[in-house]
Amino acid sequence: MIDFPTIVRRASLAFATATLFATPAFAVGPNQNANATAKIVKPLTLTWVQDLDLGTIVLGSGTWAATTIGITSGGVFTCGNTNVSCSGATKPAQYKVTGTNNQRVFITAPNVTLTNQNDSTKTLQLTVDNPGFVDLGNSGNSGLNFGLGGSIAVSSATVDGTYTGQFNVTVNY
Amino acid sequence: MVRIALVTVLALSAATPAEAQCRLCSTPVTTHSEDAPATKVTVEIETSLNFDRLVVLGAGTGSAELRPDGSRSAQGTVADIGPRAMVGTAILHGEPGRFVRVDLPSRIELYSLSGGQIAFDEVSSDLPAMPRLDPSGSLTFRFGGRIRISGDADGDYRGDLPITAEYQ
Repeated sequence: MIDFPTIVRRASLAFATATLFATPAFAVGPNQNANATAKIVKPLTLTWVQDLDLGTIVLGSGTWAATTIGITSGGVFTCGNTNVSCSGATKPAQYKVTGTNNQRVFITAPNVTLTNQNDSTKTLQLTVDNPGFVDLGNSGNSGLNFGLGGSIAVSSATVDGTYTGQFNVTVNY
Repeated sequence: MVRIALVTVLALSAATPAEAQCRLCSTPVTTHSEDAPATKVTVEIETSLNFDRLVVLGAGTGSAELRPDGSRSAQGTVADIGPRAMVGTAILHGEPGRFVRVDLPSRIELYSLSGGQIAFDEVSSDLPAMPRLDPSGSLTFRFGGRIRISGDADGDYRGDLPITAEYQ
């Protein structure tokens, strides 16, 4: 293909006098740059570090409304009101996530149903305290721990026993 | 006879001489006057090409491709292309009905802030063989390409894809 400047040069050789007055063609438009972007990341890994534990909760006598016992993702424990007493070591669940440095990782953890180990028909709902996300910073490759807390509501009608359940945790960039 | 001859001579002398064609009187141009564009053809980038997030397993080689029709594929170490990946879209503006030639580079490099470099090649578009501006003087087309990755290439990459358009 002959581009336009080549045509102009040939014309000038053949008609030197004429091209002195020739108006250059007005064809080439301005360039425009389109951005092309991509974020390249390592796959995330998620590993369990420790379980959540609300310790032992002793229910008071009589009839009373529900009260909340819980622990935050940062480990701050609260033990309802005077109708309950709490003892034993408490801790939030912990998981370790690894991935690419300087990336924000979003955490998804739905509420958990805790089942009474003596009577599977008796359950408690654990409302999860989720930090929502963690920023890997420069520790993406080595990994970063994050906590998951939760709270339950108990009342005088709550059946005693050990309640357990499983978190369903997912992480995503 | 003589009288008639005199009349003829007078008539011939009074006649206006015919104008000869002058081919050098007008300013010569190298294009047909009807083809000379009044306005430039311009390129407007409506959407940038974005591969979103590429999840890369290990340090081998892999590629991710985004085609102009929006389809995508990943090969090798590239395990996944993010859901928000999108092809680029550009709009040409110019004289209605004019044929245009659009040039896209076949390959460019994308760079990260940390100095990483990956190749973006096999650039393609959905332009027809003879692109032509529509009656309103515009032509929209989409473009895509392939990213090739080798080694440990974490990071945010960016590059400029120059698009040139001119009348044919």
